[in-house]
Amino acid sequence: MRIVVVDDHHLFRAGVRAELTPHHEVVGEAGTPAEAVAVIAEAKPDVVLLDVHLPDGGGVAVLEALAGDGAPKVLALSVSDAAEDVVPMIRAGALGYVTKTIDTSELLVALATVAAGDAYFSPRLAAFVLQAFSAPVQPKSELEALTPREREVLHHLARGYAYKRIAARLGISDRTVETHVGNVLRKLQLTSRHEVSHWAATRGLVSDDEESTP
Amino acid sequence: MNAVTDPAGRITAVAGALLVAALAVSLDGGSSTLPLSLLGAGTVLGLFVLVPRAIAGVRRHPALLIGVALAALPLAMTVFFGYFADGRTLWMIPELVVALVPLAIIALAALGGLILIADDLRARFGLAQRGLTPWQRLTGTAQRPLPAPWRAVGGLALVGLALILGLGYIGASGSSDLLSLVLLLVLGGGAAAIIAVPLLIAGLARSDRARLTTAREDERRRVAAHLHDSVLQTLALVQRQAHDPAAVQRLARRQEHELRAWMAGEVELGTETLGAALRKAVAEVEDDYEATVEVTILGERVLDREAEALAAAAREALRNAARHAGSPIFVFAQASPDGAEVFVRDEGPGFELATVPTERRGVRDSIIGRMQAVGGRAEIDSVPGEGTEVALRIGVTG
Repeated sequence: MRIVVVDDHHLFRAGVRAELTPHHEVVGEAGTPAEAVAVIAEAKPDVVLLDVHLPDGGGVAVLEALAGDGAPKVLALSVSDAAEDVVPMIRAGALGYVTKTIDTSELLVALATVAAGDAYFSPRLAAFVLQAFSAPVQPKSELEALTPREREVLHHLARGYAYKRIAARLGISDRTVETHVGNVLRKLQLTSRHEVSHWAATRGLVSDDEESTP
Repeated sequence: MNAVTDPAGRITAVAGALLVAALAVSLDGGSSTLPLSLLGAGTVLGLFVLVPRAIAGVRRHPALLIGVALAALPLAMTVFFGYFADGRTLWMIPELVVALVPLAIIALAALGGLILIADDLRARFGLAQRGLTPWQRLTGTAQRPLPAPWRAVGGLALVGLALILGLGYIGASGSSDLLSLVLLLVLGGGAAAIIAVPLLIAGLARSDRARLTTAREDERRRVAAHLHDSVLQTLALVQRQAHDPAAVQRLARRQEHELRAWMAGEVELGTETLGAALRKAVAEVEDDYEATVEVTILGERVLDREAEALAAAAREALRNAARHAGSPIFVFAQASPDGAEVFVRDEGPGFELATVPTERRGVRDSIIGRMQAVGGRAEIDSVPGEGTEVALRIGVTG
C-alpha cells in the first residue's frame, strides 16, 4: 500500500514513517496543503494520512483540492478531540478519523479499512457523528436523517464495540453493519454546510457570524 | 423568680393598681380626665412588660397569636360597635369596662377549657412525651393537674360554661344577631385552631425526625461507599505493590491528600463538571493500573449530586474493568442538563453478576446502590469471554 503522510510536525511525520515502513510504502510527505496537493498529484498514493490542523486552511483545504475522480482515500488524523475539527473533515471526504495516540496495530487496521473504500469509525468519530445528527435542525429530507438502526450502530461504535460484536448484538451480518456505517458517512457528506455549521453554532463551537456566511 | 423582686412584676403591679384606680374613679362618676390619665399611665406601664413578653412568647409558640387575637377581639368589637355603630363616644369608660369584663371572662373560660382538651388529645396521641403541656406552662407546675380523662371532662365543662356565659351575655346585652353569630364563629374557630395547631406542630416535628433518620442512613451509605472507593482501594493496591516502596509511597500520599480534602468538605471529586470528573477518574485509573482508556464525552453537565454519583459509579466501574479485564477500556458519555449516560466497557473475561459474592461490595454498593440512591439506573451487561459493559444513567437520556 502506498501512503502519503501530511502533517506540519516534522518529527511526527518521521515517527509515522518509521512505524509504517515495515508494513507499507511511505511514498511522500508534506507539511502544508499546497505541498500536499503537489506531492499527492505526483506520488499517486492509495491512502493519504492527513492531519486536521495544518497552516493555510487545514486538512479540509487539502480534501477540497483533491475532490473529484481518482482522488486517493483519506484517513484523518488529529491530536484534537473536538468535534468541530473532525466532522468537517469527514464531510469534506475523509473516510475515517483516528487520534494521534492510536497504537500501530490499530492504525494499520484503519489504513487497510480506508484503502478498501470502507469507512473507519473510531469510537470518538462515531460519537461526534452521533452528536452531529442529534442537532435540533430539521433535515431536508428523510434521506438525510439517521435511521434508528444506524443510530444504534453508531452508539455501539462510540462505546467501543467492533463490527463483529455489533453484528452479533444486533442480530445482523458484519456486512450489514458496514453498510450502515457507509450510509451514515454518505448522509453526513450530503448534509448541507448550513446545517452542520448551525449544529456547531448551537453548541458554541463556532461563532454565529460564521454560521451566517454562505 | 419572686413576683415582687422581679422588676417586670413590679411594673405589672403598679400598672394594675393604676387601672383599678381608673376603674374606681370612673365608676364613681364625675370628670373623665382623671380616670383617663390613670388608664393611660397603667396601659403604658403594662405595655412595657406585656409587649416584649408577648413577642417573645409568640416567637416560641406561634399558636399563642390565636390567644392574643381572641383576647383583643372583644376590645376591637366594643370599639367598633360602640363607637361607629351607635355613634357613642369612647369616653364612656364604665360602659367599656362593663362590656369588656364578661367577654374577657368568657374568653378565659373557653381558652382554659380548650387548652385542657388539647392537653388530653396530645397525651392520647402520644405527642406530649417531652416538654411541658400548655396547662403545665400556664400553672407553672411540673405535675399534671388531673388524670387524663378528668382533664378532658374539665375542659369540656369549661368550654360549655363559656358557651352558656357567651349566649347569656349576648341575650342580656340584646346585641344584634350578627354580633352573636360572629362571636360564635370566632369561638368555634379559635377552639378548632387551639386543638389543631399543637397537633400539627407535633406531627411536623415527627416527620422531621423521620427525615433526619433517612438522611443519616443516606450519609452513612455515602461515607461507606466513599471509603470503599478510596481508602480500601488504596489499601488493596498497597498490598499488591508491596514490593515497590516508591509506588506504595505515592499511593499513600495521594490517598492522604484525597482523604483530607474529603474531610474538609470539598466536593468529592474536586471538580465542577461531569466531564472533568470523568476525565479525572480515567486519569486515576490509568495511573493506578497502567491501563489504556479511550474516553469520549459529548455535552456537559454541572457536577450536581446526581452527576457526582454518576461519576463516582463510573470510576468504580473503570476500576473493576482495569482490575479484572485490563486494556483496552472504552468510556463513552453523553451529558445534558436533562440527563446523562456513561458506558464503561472492557473486553475482558466477563462474569455473571449472580455469581459475585455478596461480601464484594464493589458492584452492589458502589455502582448499583450509588445510582439508585440518586434515582439513577445501572445496568451491567457481561458476556463470559467477550467482556463487560456497565451502563449508568441519570435523568432523561436520548
